[in-house]
Amino acid sequence: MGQAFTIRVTYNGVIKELQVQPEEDVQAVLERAIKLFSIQQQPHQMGLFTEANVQVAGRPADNSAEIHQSVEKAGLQPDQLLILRQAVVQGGGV
Amino acid sequence: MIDVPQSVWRDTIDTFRTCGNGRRECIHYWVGPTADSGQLSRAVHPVHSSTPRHYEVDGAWLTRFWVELALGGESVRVQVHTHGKLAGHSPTDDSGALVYQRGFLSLVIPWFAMRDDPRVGAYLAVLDEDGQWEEVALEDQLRWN
Repeated sequence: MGQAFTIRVTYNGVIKELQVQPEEDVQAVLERAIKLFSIQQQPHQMGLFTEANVQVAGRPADNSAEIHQSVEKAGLQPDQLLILRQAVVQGGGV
Repeated sequence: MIDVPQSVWRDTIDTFRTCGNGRRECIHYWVGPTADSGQLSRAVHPVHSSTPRHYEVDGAWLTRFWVELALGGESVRVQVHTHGKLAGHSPTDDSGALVYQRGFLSLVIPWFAMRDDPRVGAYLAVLDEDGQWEEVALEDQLRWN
């Protein structure tokens, strides 16, 4: 088992720290991040993205399969900043 | 109560009218200091696509915007978008909003903001503690300066 480390997650202007395990599924990290920010949205609508806009957790905007991979496989590094946001932000009248 | 500066309101309506041109929806985010939930400092016009009945914000832009807010100590307080006819909160508005934290406001402006006073007929919703959008009176949440 690898050593736990801390990443940073940002949502709407606030940055919070989250401790992760290298073997932890990124979906579990996403769900913990959602709770950390008291977000009232279904997890399948949300995603974690790198600063280069690479999605590392959640269901992609094209609605393909939810991403399941370990933190290590996703290449997350200590102190890395991840962006927590809706996979798709949209609206419109009917 | 959130104070809406004239500059923020004017920027928003001017952009709705030029970007939407009376034919397409448009979206703005009202941003203020994270440390002061009642203050707005600027209106942000995101990169987006739009049709007469839909808009979608560019994902790469949104990622950059989230980083910009974090570095600048700013947060989005209100999302504001247009509808072509009457204002309301559609199912797409309910599930596709920018922020899902209690107290976040979503303001919908009717008639593509082309009427003399775009606030007439506007619809304001707040995200409640159960994650549901609830209609609230404009004058109870927003104060135009």
